Amino acid sequence: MTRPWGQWVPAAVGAGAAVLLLVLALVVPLEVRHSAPFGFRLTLDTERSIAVPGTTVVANYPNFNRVDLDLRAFTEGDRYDLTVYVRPDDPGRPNAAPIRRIPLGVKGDDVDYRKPAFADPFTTVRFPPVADSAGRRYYVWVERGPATQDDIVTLWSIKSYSRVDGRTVLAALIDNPPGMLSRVGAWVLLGGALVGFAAATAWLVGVTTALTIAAARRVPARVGAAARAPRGPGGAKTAG
Amino acid sequence: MSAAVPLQPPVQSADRARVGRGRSIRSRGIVGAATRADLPWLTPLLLLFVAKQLLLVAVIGPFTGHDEVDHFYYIDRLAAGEGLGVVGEVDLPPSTKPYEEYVADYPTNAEVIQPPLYHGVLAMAYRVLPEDTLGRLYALRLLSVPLGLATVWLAYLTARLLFPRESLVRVGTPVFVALQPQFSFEAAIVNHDILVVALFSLVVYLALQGLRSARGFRPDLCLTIGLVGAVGLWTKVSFGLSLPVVGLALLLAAWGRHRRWTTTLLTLAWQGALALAVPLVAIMPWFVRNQRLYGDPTGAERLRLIPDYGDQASTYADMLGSPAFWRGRLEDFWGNYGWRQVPYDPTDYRVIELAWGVAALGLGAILVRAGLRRWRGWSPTLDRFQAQGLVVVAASVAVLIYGVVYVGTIQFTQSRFAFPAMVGFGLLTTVGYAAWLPARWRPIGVPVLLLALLALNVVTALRYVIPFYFGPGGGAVINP
Repeated sequence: MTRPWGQWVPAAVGAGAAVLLLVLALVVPLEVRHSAPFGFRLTLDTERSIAVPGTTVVANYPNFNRVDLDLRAFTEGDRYDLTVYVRPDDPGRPNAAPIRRIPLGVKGDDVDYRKPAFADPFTTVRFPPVADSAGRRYYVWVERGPATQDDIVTLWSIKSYSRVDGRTVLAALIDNPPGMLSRVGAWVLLGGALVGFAAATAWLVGVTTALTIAAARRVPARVGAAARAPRGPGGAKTAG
Repeated sequence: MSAAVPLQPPVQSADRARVGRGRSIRSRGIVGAATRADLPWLTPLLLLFVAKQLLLVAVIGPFTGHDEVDHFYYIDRLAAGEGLGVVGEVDLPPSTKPYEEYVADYPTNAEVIQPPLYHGVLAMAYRVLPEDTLGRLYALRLLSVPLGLATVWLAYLTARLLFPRESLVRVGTPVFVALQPQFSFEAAIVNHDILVVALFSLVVYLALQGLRSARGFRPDLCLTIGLVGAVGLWTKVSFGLSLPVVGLALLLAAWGRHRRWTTTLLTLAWQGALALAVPLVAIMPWFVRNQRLYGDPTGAERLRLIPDYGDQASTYADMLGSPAFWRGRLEDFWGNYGWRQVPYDPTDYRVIELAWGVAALGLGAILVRAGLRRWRGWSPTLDRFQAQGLVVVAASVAVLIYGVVYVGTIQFTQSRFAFPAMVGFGLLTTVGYAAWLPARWRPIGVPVLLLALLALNVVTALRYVIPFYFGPGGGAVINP
């Protein structure tokens, strides 16, 4: 029984962890945030120097499916009924119709303009993915519903996301390689890093699992005694 | 409460016997100090670190590390033999215009206020590199990786010195340092901070060696600490924050040996002359230059004049009492890539803070338990060297947190100024986690910590960092 516990289990755990991490990283879809300074786009209209209830976001990837809205209410309502719209922002089609219309009800407390320091200021809104969104611009805006018309609700900033797997993210890196790298160079770098990452993860998790098993099976008697009798005089002895 | 389980003593009897004969771990050399038993996990950890760093070097957009434009052109200036320069008088080349958002005081180079050791050394490498700006940038970034690697190694040595039989601490501390996202960022860009981190880690490790050794702080060890301190000060003036940490270690060691103030002070006098005065004397020419040019020895007052940065200066009371300030510092500590332009989402921060808070509570539990045991006259949880070592490590963290707040009184501040104590952060974190687990089950914390940090790194790369720089809709934020 010593050999399987001592060798095969850690090796299996290490290899399993590396494979699982790779599968999770490359196959399982994540909501990936689109590129924006500090993560968000401000709704300030700099040309007119006024705040507006919407702004343009640029989708990095296909399957644009989520926006996070920093909503701020300056009146004391219990609930606000809003509608979020998404339409293509195409200079050639200034009056393009919305492609997504999402009704949104939010509690007044969740969007109060005085948000605590550790609170998440954003309200997440998900909608059916826009399949061909990669590289396209969208105008996202919020309108108040009939019951909320007289309330003061503003939108400070917007974050946007696509639901894609890791392969899509890495493919974008290879399509537009960093620095002076060619596409082949990017492949080699990325491939090498992934193989190195997976191998080192398998090795490291395997060895640390072996440490765990060894410690659980063979604890020095003095340490065991210390662990069992930690209280009171003469209980836990330590060196020095 | 599982915190009642004591941590393992630092040295076994055989080790103590060797120390007693005057053979400290130091005599086997830094590399030789790694036992055979640790190489099976240290080797893949270091390989993992290098693989991750190579990817980060390539992925992080050019010149988007904090102050990377300034540091790079400071090196360029020294390589060209144009001298040190004066803040406000040294302009960046027009080719840096696309990176204006990443420069503190565009179009001037504010980093020429820094001591020139790091930049001077890299200037030598710069001269032999092909004349291509991006190529040089990436090559210089690669030189940060070995410094990060050295810090991970020092994290291992430090943890091993204090808790050689606690695998969660001995393995977990270098794992924490190697996979801490913002430390990884530091070790993948052109910035003297990574050298400061490595040197500070070395000074703390040497100070702990002095504490542990039966012969205390010998003259050669004190001089070594002093010389490392001098190199650190010539890298960044804030390295001066290591001096009180060294002073504390000297004091603890001297008092422990003599138990009388007169002999303690006499010992401290010669030890301090070597370990503390040597670096201060060595940096004096730079202080004099700063005094002449900017009116104060460190040049900090000049930084207050940088528009937008100096305007954000605050008072100690305002910062310490502000939840938003601490939220910002926690966020800085874990995930603000691309000079703060690539943060995590708030939910991710809260999950990390919650997980880290568990370790902080564990440390609190150890403190409370140690106090109670002392009060009741019971045997201590930690032996004397461990207790003193933890005090020194905690002091290194505390003085650097003070440094972060101090910078906030001059200009806009960031948590990265505390990164020189990254080994301390890692060590205290793993000790905090160890407090919650029975001794027998502590090793299971190692793969758990490892997988959690690996997952954090994968999510960081895929959700935030790569999408910020790459993709049909990305990249525009760097090159408008």
